[in-house]
Amino acid sequence: MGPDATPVDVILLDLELNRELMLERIGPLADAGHRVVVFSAHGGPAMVKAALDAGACAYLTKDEAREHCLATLLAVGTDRPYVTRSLAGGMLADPQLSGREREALLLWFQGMDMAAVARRMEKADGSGTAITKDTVKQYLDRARVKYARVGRSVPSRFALLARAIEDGLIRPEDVGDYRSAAANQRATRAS
Amino acid sequence: MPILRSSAADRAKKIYDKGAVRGALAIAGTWHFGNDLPAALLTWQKVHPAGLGLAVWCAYTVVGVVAAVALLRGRRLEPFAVWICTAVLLAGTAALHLSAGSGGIFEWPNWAWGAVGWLGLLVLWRHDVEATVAFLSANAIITTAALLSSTGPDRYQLAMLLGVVYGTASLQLGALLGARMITETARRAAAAREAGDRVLARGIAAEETRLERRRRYATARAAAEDLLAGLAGGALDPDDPMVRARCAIAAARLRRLVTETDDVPDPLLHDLRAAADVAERRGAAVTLDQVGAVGDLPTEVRQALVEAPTEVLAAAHGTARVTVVSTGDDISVSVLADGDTPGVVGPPPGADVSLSVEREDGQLWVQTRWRRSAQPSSTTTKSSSTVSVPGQRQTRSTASTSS
Repeated sequence: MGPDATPVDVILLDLELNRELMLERIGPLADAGHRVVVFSAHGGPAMVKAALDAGACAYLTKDEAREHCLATLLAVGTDRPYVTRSLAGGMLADPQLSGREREALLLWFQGMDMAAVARRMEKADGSGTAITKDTVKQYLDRARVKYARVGRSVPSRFALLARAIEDGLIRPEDVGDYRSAAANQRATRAS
Repeated sequence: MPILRSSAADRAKKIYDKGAVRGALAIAGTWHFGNDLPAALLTWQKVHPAGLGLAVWCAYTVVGVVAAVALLRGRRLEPFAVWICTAVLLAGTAALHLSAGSGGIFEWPNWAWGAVGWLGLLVLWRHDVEATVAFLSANAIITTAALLSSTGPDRYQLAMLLGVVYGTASLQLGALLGARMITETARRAAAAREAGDRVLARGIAAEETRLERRRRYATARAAAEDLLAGLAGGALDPDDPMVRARCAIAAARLRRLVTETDDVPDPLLHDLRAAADVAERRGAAVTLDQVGAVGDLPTEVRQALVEAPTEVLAAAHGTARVTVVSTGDDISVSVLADGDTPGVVGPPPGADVSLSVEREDGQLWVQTRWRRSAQPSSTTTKSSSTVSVPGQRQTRSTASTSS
């Protein structure tokens, strides 16, 4: 596979092909401009983090494929964030999350649907302010974008950030510490 | 170099330190009774005022006993006691110097300055070595001053003084440093051995985990094999919802085995896995996901965390999702079960673990949560109605309310 292969919107990459971990294949695919969704039986946070760090756009375990596969592919295909439960688990350890984002990620990871997370968070809020499903999704997506901001720079991640700004999910100044792909490549070459 | 810290190492250090203390006490005691006491007794009239030597000896005895009692109890003298004791010791030296007068530095009646080192060693045992060096130096300075002020500098006497100071101080410092080195070496040896034991224990535990996993895998495989054989042979119909449910359960079970990554038994996960196994045997499909390492938990906390989720799993018969999330000081265990799983009926958990129970849209969500830094506080039980109203949440939480 290479950049001049038939144009594809999204690559769904099984992380374990022929009993071999495909982690190191993610980087070249992402560098070539492909959007990679990792599909795996392993849902551990370490594996999720490794896949995302390598440049994957989303992570999908085989347990959650039935529920989330299509939505993940559609979101990733339009450079929008999509947070599966396994991805939420991988991101929970991220220290830059806000308290609300962390709470939303936790409840989502525990298996609640968006509506249930929204109801639960409404109750947790002392002011009694209602939280909608959309707000929950916003918390999750913003957490995902925050996570992408400090990761390895690949075109798909840049597109995700650009789309997030376009959609009003984050402000341009929030992307201040984003490292450009060129800087990253220079670092790779140096090493 | 990283210093290994462990209980066994500290124990070894204590044992060797105790031995060294006894050695130092034996030397100091022998010297105090074998040399100082005869000197003080036989020359008690030769000093002025008469009996000063005996008085100093008695004061030194008190200091020695105080130090010995503290050391034998495994402690060291408190700073204020150190100050008093060293002052008494040095005052005794100075007093006998004054009393002995000119030329008496090396005479028997002036025994104190040569004897005070061993007692000083005891007083300053388990304090910094520098303190002992300072004490021995102070004694040497006082003695030198006494020598110089009596007859003026006398090369012969000065050389003798240096010889005596060097001879005694080197013995005393040598004993002190030797003891320290032995205890430190013992501590390191014990730490290294304990580290070795830990590696061995980890290996044994990992092997046990592997065998246990293998046994569970054999069971899960047999179940999957039956299903596959049935499907392949046409005995089982893939359109049958029962068959599909069985397939889902078998797949979930195999997947859980495949994704287990811990190589050492984690008691909390072990309890939850056991509950999940039971639920699966009754026909529930269980997924178990974990974020973060749980680490060591007090037993009562672990039990409180696991109790309600286990209860839910024991009654679950649709699908159930179990999650364990440990981020920083916050540990939460949750079960989301569908179907008409009965709610939790057990008593509220103790050990500062909070419990949340909600039921809505045919789903039961139970979460136990514990914060490592939880302040001990009054535990209040807030009970809302437990009458099941469709679409309405039931919450029973024992939240640790900080007042």
